[in-house]
Amino acid sequence: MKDNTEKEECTEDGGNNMAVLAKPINKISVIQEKDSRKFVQDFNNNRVSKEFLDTCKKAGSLFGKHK
Amino acid sequence: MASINNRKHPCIAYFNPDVEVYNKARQDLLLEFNAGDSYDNFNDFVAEEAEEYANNGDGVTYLVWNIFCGADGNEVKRELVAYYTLSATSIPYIDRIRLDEDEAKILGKEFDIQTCGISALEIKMFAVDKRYQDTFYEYKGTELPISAWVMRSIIDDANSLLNTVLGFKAIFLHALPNAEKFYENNGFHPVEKNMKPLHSVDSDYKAMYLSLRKVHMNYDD
Repeated sequence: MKDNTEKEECTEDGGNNMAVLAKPINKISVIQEKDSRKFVQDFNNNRVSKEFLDTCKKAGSLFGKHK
Repeated sequence: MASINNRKHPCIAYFNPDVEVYNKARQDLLLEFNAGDSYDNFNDFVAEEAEEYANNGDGVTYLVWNIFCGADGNEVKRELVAYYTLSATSIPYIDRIRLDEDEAKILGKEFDIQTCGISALEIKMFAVDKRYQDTFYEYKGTELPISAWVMRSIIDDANSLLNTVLGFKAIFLHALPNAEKFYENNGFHPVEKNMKPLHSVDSDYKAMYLSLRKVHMNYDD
C-alpha cells in the first residue's frame, strides 16, 4: 500500500492551514439601490479568468471528473 | 491568484481522491473526521447533521476521500480529507428602471424599483481534516494545498453545471475571517466593507463571491 510521507516542513501563509473555511449564514439582506450599481459593475469586472478555470479543470481531472 | 507555490511546505506523496455524496453507511469513518479541537461543530455536522440538512433541502454534503489501494488495485483504506455542503441561493440587489414620461407622470415617480437576484451556488460548509491541512500535493506540474485542489474541483464542477445542467452566475459563501486569504487565492472577491450589502447577523463572517457569468443590470441614471 502506498503511503504519504512528509517531505518537507515549514509554515505557509495564505490561509492554507485553515481547518474550517466556510460556515452557513442563513440571513442576508438586499444590496441597496445606492450600492447595487457598483456591486454589479465590480461583479462583472471580477469575472474569473480562463487561466484560472484551466487550473480548476486540472483539479477536476485530479478528482476523476475528466479521466 | 496564487497557483504554484515554490516555498518549502509539507507535501504528501500520495493523493487518490474520490468525491461522493454524503453516505450514511460510512458513519464510522465520518465520526473520525477532525477539523481541529476548536471546530467540534463542524466535526459533529458531518457525522450527525448532514443527512437531516439534506432532507430539509438546506444543502447536500459531499465527502472528499483519499483512497488507498493495495498492490492488486483494490481499496484497502480510505480517509476523509474534507467535506463541503452545497445549496442554491441568490445574491439580492435593487435594480431600477427609468419609467417613460407618461408612466412617470401617472405614478408620480421617475423610476420603477425592482428587487433582483444574482443566481448562485452557495458553499454552506467547507472543512478540511487536520491531517490534510497546510499540506500540498503536486499534480501535472502544479503544486497546491489539498484544500485548494478541493476548492478548485468544486469550481470546475460548478462551471460544468452551469453550462449543461443548471444556470447560475456565481459561487457564494461566508468565509471565516482567517480563511479570506484562502478564498482570494482561489478566485473569490470580498463584498466591499463600505457597502455592507450582505450584512448578516454575525459580522465576523465575510461574504465572498466568485463571478462566473456577467450580470445584466437595468440601472439607469
